[in-house]
Amino acid sequence: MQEFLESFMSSGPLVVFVFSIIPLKIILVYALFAIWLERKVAGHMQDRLGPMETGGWHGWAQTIADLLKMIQKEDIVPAKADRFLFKMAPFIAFAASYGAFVAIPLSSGYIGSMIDVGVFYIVAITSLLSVSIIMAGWASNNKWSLLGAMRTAAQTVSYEVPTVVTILSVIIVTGTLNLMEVTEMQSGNGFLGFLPNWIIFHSPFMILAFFLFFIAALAESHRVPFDLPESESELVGGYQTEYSGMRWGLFMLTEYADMLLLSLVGATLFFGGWNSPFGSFMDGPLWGAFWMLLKGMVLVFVMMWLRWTLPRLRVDQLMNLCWKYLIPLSFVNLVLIAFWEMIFK
Amino acid sequence: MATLKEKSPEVTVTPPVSAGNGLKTQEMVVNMGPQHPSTHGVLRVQLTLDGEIVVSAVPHIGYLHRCFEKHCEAMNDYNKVVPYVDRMDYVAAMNNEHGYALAMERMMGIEVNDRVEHIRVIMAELQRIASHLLAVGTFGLDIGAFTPFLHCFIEREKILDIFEKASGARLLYNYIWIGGLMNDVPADFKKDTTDFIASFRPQIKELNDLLSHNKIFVDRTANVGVLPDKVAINYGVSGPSLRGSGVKWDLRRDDPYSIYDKFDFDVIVGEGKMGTLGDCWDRYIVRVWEMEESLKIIEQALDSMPDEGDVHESIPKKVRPPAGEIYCRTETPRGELGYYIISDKSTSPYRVKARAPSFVNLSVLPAISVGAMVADMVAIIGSVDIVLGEVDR
Amino acid sequence: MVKLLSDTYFTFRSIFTGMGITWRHLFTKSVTVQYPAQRDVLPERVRLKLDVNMDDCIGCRLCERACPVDCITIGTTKSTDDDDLGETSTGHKKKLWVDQFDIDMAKCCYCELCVHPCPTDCITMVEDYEYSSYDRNDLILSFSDMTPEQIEEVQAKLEREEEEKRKKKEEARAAKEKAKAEGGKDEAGGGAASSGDTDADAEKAARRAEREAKRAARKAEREGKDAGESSGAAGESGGSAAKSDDTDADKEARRAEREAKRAARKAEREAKKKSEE
Repeated sequence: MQEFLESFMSSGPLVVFVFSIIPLKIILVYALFAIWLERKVAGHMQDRLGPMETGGWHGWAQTIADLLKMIQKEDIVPAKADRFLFKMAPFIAFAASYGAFVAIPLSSGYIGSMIDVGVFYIVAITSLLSVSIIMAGWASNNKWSLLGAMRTAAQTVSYEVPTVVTILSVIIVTGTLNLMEVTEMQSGNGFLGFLPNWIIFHSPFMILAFFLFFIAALAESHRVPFDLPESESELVGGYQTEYSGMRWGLFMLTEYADMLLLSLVGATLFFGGWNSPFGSFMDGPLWGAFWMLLKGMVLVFVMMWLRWTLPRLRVDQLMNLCWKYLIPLSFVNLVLIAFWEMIFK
Repeated sequence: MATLKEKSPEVTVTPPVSAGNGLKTQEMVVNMGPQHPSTHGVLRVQLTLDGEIVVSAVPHIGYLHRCFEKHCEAMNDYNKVVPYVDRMDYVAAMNNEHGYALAMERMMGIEVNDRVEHIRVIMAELQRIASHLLAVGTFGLDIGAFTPFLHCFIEREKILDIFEKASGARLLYNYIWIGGLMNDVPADFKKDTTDFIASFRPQIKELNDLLSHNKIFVDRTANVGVLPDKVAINYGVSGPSLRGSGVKWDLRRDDPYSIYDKFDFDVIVGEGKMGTLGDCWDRYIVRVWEMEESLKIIEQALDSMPDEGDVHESIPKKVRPPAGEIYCRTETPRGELGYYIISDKSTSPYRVKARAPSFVNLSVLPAISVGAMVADMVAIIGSVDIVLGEVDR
Repeated sequence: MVKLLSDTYFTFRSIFTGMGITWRHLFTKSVTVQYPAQRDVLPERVRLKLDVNMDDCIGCRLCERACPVDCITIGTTKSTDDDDLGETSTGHKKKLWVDQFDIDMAKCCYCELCVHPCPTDCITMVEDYEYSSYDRNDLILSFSDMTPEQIEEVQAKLEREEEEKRKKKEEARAAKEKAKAEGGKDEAGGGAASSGDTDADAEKAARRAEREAKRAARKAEREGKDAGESSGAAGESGGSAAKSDDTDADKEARRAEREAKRAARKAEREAKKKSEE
């Protein structure tokens, strides 16, 4: 695809620019859709309808209207806030999750950058998110924000351990950190004759690994039941309390981008990425993008589903869950997968 | 002249202490409310925090004070007090009216007929269910579960529909009058109520599956805000909050008013099933099972309700009670609601004092919240189930 | 270990049960009413807005007195003998011009206490709930259909008639006195004369009180209760005065006495109020 664009435009920097904003477009369109979907899912789970008016059909334009409203709103910075950090925080937050999309193969024809340490890069750059949240919480000069930020620090640092360990167990199987290669390894329908060659079917322990990964990913993206940094019924809005207008909108966008990012990573690592579940049927670069986003959206939907079902954990229980259950379990799982790999290969 | 400046309760914050590694730590004072999503209105709790742990909690009230008692004295007719009574505990207006009407009837020696008594009891119990639904729903909301809240509201709406058919209002009914009722119930009242009972029983089970026995919910509420029975009694806590501590005290059973002695129902008490006796979960589950008991009462009352009877029969032309005073207490969804009324033989009350259960129950908050975390504060406030309209009056 | 496993089982079972419930609700019919497009069928007793059928209103002020928030203001003028205001649909004879009937829906607490005492069922709650406005004065509903000119005319007419009546009465009394004086040295005569004097004074005072009360009611805000009561009583006295037209002298005398007493009390109260202000 890059070659095609290069031949078409015959200018290096422009092509790179066009090429590199593809994920941004996807994120923006996805965020508009996902926020609408979240409202609809929430509505119907609660026997309501959700947005119905804006745009005509089932309120499809509601998020666009909200976005326009947010752009018009006054950009309020509290008088006693640290202005520079306060204004920077949302951008860093978004940059962190946007940057991570570089290493994700959206289809067989598209990956932002073919870096060999893709997984490592994603893990590293998403950690920036917690920095930005601490910045936001501290700079707001608000006690609720500060509490939220402190929770985030503890939460993100803790949950990175099980995330990395479960990713590591996949890497044992694939032997590469490059996500494109990880995906390519999962093509074909060889497993048990009809199931796709996805890593989740590799061994029973892989299912557990995915499970652990998913829980940790929920915590990393601050979704219910792990939404302690913002927990609106306790901390008012957590680190977002003092934000308004588009800066708040950027945090919102980051949250949804983060959901998609972790879902896509999960889909790539466990569910064959852009591979079609039907072997060569419906396969190809464009179909690949479709499958990739579909798998991502399914996981995003499950996150929403959980959000509208479960209450929220308390901060000490969150830590308990991580350090007492997830981390030991993921290490044990890592060892078991390693043994499985030794025995059956 | 004495200054009227309000003296705010002392909040002592310890001076910064060294944490031993060159850093200093200090307690933090946070105002929880009056604009806070989980203080159920306009309660302000002044929290002193050590990190996330509550060192002290001082509730500040009065943000919703509307001079209920003074308003009552200004009314030139006892009947005019009823709309004001509605506005005390605005999620359980029927129970408030019931208590006030009973107090006035006792004072004037009015006997109401059986049909009126039955309708009053059915309305009061429906209102109890509606109020408990709101309490458990918002409690779930405080813990972070949004969906059960709206499921509860759907059921509550059905009850409000029944009320609306009978009285014309959905929240502040002015339905139970001194000596009778505003209107007789509509013709399809019995059917509506029976339908509601039939559709509501499975909903209680669903609520239990979705919220009460959810592991995260149990973890958040069990062993949190433990209120031992002795402390509860000492503070004068009443209602489900008291029964959650295992004290079997229900005015409907222990000091029967109206016709409650006719009905067969259990007094639900907390058992400490998920944690310590008297924790937030116990207080919560008492409300859930009390809804079931209320259904039982309603069913029995519907069966024994006489079809004939004029609801206006004993409404006095002019309410002019003899000089004297009365204290009449009833069991509202929040606890013991008592009216102390003094009459000077005129048509206007000399004094109306309400012993509001929410106010008394709130007083226990500082005692049970020390050592909890900020997130537990929310659970504790939710489990005590206060209505600020009644706290401040 | 067993406890750990059973806990884990309990955890996942409860979470999946919950997810099952929310999944099921995803496909149940929603309860939302798409408001402007769809509307709930409201029961007939709904209390949403007050409405007054002025054809039936007899100006008795019972609703005004029943209101716990004083949101109803009524002003009345006695009708003169030559005017026939007709009857209400319930058969009550109308004797008062209702020149003002304002309900402030911004104050109204929708308790319906005003609806029940109405003897002619002319004040009712109606099913109209879309009357929000940007100006709270728009929420003051005026039901009286009398124009200011009409009101003035009616009041002027009443004053004229009362003047005439008073003159007539004085003449009658003078004639009586004369007759009595002529009839001999009756000591009762002096008493009658003095009583006649007070009677006339009282009537004047009553009218003054009534007018003043009306003014006070219209201003409404100050001392709502006092004004309401006195104007209510004044209205009644007006009504009874209107009734006492062609009855025999005995009855009239008694009534006049009662009225005088009442008027005196009212005048006293008014004076007190004035001095307070």
